[in-house]
Amino acid sequence: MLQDSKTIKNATTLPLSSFTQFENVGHSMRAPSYRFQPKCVEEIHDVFHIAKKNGLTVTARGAGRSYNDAALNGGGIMLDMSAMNQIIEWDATAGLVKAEPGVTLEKLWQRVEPDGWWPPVVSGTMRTTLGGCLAANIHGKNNFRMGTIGEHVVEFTSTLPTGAEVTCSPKLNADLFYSMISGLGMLGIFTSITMQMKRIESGLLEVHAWPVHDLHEHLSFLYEKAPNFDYTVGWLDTMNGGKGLGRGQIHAANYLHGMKIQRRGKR
Amino acid sequence: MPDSSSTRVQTPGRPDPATPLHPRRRGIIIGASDGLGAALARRLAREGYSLALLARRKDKLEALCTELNASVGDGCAYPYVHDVSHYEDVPALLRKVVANLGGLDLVIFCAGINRPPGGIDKYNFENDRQMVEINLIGAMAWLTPVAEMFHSARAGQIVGIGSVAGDRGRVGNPGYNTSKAGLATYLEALRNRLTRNGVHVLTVKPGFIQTDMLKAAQGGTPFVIAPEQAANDIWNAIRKRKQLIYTPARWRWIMLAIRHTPSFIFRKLSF
Repeated sequence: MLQDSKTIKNATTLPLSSFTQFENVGHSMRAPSYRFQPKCVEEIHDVFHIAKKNGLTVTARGAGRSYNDAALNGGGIMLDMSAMNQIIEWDATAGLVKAEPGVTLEKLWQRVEPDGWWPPVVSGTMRTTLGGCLAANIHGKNNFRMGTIGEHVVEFTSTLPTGAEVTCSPKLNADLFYSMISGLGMLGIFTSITMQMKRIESGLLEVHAWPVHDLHEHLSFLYEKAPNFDYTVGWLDTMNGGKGLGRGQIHAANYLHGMKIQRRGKR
Repeated sequence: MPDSSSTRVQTPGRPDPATPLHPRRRGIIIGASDGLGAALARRLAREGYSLALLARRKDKLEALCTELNASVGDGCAYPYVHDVSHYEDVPALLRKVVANLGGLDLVIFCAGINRPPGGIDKYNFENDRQMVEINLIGAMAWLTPVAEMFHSARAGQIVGIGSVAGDRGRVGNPGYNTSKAGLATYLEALRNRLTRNGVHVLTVKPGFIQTDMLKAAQGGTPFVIAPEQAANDIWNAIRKRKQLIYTPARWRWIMLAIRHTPSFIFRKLSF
């Protein structure tokens, strides 16, 4: 049941009709919560106010793509951030994007890719939201090169349960900056995130795949191949034990450059 | 997360330990301190429910919770002192209970009183009013917000304890008949509203159960059963998501006959 912004504003009671069943992405856990879908910062304040008045806990939820119970809050309030999903500013020369936390990685790359930029870290699914990625400080298949997503955040603003609005960067409120990244939304709610994109020539990739037969081969292959590629990922066959433990397949990919893009275009 | 099926150790008489992948189901029993409510609490706790037990009598309620937490396992019963006739307390208490339990799967409204007027030639409005206030309006005060919650969550089970006494208006106790007939109709309406939203509503119509309320019965009390047997029948009906049960089951056939007895005969009967 979607909340009309007028019903949240200055409300002090919890509508029982907002009680919603939430699941994690694997459907292995479920819990009901009162759902609020704020569209602006003031509405987040209102929700904190309602929570205090009723003595309830608040959990933020982006796309609900967590494998565990990070975005569940049984019996409490669920702050569904998916309606705050606007890209506020996009600087195509510097590659700096300022976006609301509900923007999905899909929406982000579709905006920046035509200008020759790409999110520095992307998760396995593109349905995750920027706020959720930052709260869980996710990594991608280029972890060995680019680290986690938090390392590419320039600045963010957040709303704290006290009602304070703070701007954080490595220089400004640095302690809060480093605690809120990978803080699972326990300290406050992101309201805007400024992030540095990385330069690419094209979104096309050259992908290789190799089979590997055991864990030793798997790890040494990854170790050996990683320096030559932008992305690597090892798939494990977990049904196999004994001598074949660690059997699987390695995928590695590089962005296409210059001539290769044109050759591909002709084909 | 280890494979739950191989690591879970079942102790006889104790439910499986709660894990994130197998959380306890959560229930509220209103009117749990004694009689059928207490028997249901014992049964559901053994079936692995975390229960919020509500009743007026604090000492009895806390004794029951202590007993359950000791015999079945910690965290299976929490006491909340509450008077069903204080309708305005209900929404806040419901929110508090749901927050403490971390969700809600089952609500059983079991509170009820039986205050007969004291003979077929006596009338007592005060008693009638109290019975309707507790048995019917009390149930509506609780089940309305619960229904609204379950409706939007599209899940949940509601159980209301009616009575065989609600099937016909009889000479002995008009107020009690009315309260239980009203409750049965209310539950039927809830069922018709909520089934399409994935919510299960069960109406239970017990005959005579060996509890304190039996003292109020006038005349014969055939087929008296222990509260544990009634709780067993109710648990099976919850599991099978039945709509309406009589307990013991033979009342279904007796009440079928009684419901179809024509009025010109029924008027002359005095049971």
